[in-house]
Amino acid sequence: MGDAVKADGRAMRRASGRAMKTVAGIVIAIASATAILLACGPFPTTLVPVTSFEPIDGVGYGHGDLGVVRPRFARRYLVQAYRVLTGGKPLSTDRTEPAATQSQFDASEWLDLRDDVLGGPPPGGERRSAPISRALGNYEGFDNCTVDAFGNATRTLKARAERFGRPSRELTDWTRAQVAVFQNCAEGPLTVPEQAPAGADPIVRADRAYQTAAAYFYAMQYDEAAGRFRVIAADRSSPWRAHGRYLAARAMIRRATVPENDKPVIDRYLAEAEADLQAVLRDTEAASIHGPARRLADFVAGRLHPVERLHAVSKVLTAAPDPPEQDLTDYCAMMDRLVGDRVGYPAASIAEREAMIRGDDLTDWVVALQGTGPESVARAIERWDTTRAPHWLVAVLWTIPGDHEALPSILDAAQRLEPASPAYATTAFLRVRLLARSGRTDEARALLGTLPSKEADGFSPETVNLLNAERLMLARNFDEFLASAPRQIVVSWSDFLGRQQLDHTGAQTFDEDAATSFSRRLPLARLVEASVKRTLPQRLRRRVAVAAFTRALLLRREGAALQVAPVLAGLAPPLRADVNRYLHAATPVDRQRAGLLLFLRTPGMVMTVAGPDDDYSYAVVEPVRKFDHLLRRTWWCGTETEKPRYSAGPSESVALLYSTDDLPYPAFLPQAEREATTSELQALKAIGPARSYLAGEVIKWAREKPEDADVAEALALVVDGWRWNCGDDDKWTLAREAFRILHGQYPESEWAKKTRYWYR
Amino acid sequence: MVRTGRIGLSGAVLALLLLSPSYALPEHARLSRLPPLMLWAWERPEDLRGLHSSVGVAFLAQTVTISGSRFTLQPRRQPLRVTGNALVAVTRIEAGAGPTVSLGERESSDVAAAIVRTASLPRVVGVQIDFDARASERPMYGRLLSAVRDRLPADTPLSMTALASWCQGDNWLRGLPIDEAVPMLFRMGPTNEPFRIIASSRESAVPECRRAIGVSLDESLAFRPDSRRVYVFSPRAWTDVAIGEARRWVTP
Repeated sequence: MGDAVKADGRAMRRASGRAMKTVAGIVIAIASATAILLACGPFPTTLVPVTSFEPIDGVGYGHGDLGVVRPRFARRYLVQAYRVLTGGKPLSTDRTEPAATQSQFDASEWLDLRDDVLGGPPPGGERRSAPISRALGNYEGFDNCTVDAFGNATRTLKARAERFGRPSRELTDWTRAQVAVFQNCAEGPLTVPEQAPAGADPIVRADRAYQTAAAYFYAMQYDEAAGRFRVIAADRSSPWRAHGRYLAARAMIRRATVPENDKPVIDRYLAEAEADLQAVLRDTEAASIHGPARRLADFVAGRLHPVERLHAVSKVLTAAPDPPEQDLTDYCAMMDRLVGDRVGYPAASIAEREAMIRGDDLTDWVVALQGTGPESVARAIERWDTTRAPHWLVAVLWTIPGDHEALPSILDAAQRLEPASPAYATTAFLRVRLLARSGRTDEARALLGTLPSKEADGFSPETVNLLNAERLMLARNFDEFLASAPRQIVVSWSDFLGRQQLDHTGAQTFDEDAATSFSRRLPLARLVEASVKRTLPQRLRRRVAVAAFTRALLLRREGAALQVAPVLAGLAPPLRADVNRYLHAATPVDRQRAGLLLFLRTPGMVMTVAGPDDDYSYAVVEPVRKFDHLLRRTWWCGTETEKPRYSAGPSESVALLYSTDDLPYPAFLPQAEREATTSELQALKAIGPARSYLAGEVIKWAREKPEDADVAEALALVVDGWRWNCGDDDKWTLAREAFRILHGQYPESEWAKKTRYWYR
Repeated sequence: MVRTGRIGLSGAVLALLLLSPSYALPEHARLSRLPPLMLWAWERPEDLRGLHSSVGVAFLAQTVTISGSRFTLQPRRQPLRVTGNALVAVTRIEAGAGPTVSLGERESSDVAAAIVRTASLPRVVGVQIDFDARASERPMYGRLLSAVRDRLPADTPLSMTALASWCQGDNWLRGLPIDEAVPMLFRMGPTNEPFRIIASSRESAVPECRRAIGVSLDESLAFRPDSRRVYVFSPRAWTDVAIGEARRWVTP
């Protein structure tokens, strides 16, 4: 809420008991309502015209509808694109989580069976959420006993119950031994199960040997555990024989990585693990665990021989008709290990680049596409010259600079690409970009003229948004600019919650390019022109008209204001009375005061044009007629002429088409209009934040013409507006002064009665 | 009679608003155990052995994941190396985006015990809970905080992170048995602006949020510490340069 609430002494003295009760009720109601409104967040979702790191439609993309393939996509999407661009079968990915993960840990079945066998929980085993992790020092810990361990114990208990009966001494002993094993899951010294009785059934002895090795394993005595598991592997009578080398390998992997050791130590123990795992994979009697052994072997190979492992999964991903999801995951993991978890990097900075790309076209392509610097350009051109393959054409078009000598021939080749090619949308977008960058803007516009401006086969709404961003960049006149400014909303994205259900199908918004241009790269006259013309969709046109009228009033440009006022009244009917009052004012002073009152009654009057939308801005009918208690986006804070008041972050369209976030003036804008824009922005900045500007003007009005019927209302709105708006924090005395005048000059007015407090 | 009734109601409301425990929070002596600058050490290896002893470290000690009425505990998975600095052990609670979670009494007690255990780690002088609780989860969170407070040593401060919105306009922190709530003024996206005033005006926050502030090195934010403890998040591992930046925020 606002700052310390001050009550005026006289007002408080006049407060009756009924009013106190009313205030109390309001306070409680507001507090309750606010608690609901601010339940968590608020977290607006941005309504995005172009995504950054993943395709809009994962399902369609997985079926080969690539749209514009972009280097900043996460690498898994580049792998999918590669398959399609090289004529392979599309790779749809299933990214569902594994059925059981440690975060869904549930040992209740084991605990129930255990307690059933033992007649109740063992000492220390009462708590059903007993820790299963161990500390490693330096405040680090790890999940020691995994969900599989309890599952295996449960299955074994059931098997032994079937074999030995229930109750039976063997089952009870086995269960007690397993309790001892699990006591090693958390902190504490080694707990070893009791030895099997002499003359016990061989399976009991084998079980106990296995449990003892497991106890050492969970107590982090990995060398001892591995040795015992290898002994089990050599015992042909043990039912655990097939698992022996596998578990020895697991012990060695933990020895290497828990905690993370220096590389020589890691390599030494992982090499031992690798030998154990290869032995398992050669053991036909261990076929039942070949699957997990293979996965562990892949893990070890990824650590010991990442480049070789990269090539292995790359081969599967490029050649297999239906490669497993795990290989795609592993490929990305290997790339992260070798390149870093990043999507833009100097190609020359990759230590093992030569080895990575040798004989591996997929990796070669990914590194060339995402890499920066001359090495990437040279490699892409070299590969294109050698292969003439569409995917290398895409890589060249993304990397080649506009002044490169090879550009003309590359563009010629791109021009010959068939529209049916899955690379067509990408190359079309990039041809325009490169023609523009090389100064061939007329050719770029001509090419754009042949490309769809609405959704069409092969051109998704997002692709059309990208083409429209190019059209805006290359606009020859304001009409072309306006025609290309609206973009279709394609994704609803929350920084906190990720992608959200999109229920704005077909709706349009401004992207950052248009919003920035309207806000800081066009003069008032152009905003008026955009308001008057019917090119923009009504909602966006109204947004521009609001900014135009606000600027016109603040800059005292009466002609512009009179031109845009009827438009605004038509687009925003709730403002009609206030706009008409402005239009029909008898004197310039009356008109200026009518404008003030309109601002005060319409906090949604802002001087800039926002874009892209979010779900909050999209939901309201602009300009809002009440203060925004939640996001406080009303009026202006005084900094909007230099940067957006709020932003969802860099726009992908801007990042792809402009070399800087600081967009240039539209090319068609004459120098005189650029200078006019600059001087207008300076004048607007000098006016300062809305709340102090309006407070000053209204206080002056109250002193000059106190008999005006609307002064009390204006003063009350100044006081309330101070609370919910921003800027000039140190000028809070203006709010206090407005409050004093209100209660001093208009004590019996309804506005004074409504306004019981002022706020810093 | 009418007059008496009015006075009675007004008095009750005033008592509710003005005399509730949180509005009369004492400055807990136990907070003096925490340095004025705390570095958050999150999910990455951190080597802070050269850190000046006047700076504290609030490190992610464990993550509690609640699903329905069950929970799991994951320990910190990265090493934190420190020497003589005061530490605050942070427990992050994750509840996911699914249905509202609600721990039973026994589970809640177990979670509280796990949090309290972090207070006994070496050099830990305080504990902090990081939970973006939904409105429907607040009663459970409140009970958990009470259980933790009851079991913590009397001189161990209990801190919680707070969404900025909890610190302005929302009143649910009132009465919680905490020593400080740390408004996190970063990663707010488009919502940051309305609450930015907390950064420059301590008094603009509800009383529970006036003793500390949470900021991030990679988000420019003009603020005055104004006697508040400053918790600083770094998007990358802490370096001498980053620590220098954090220290300059507190003592320009």
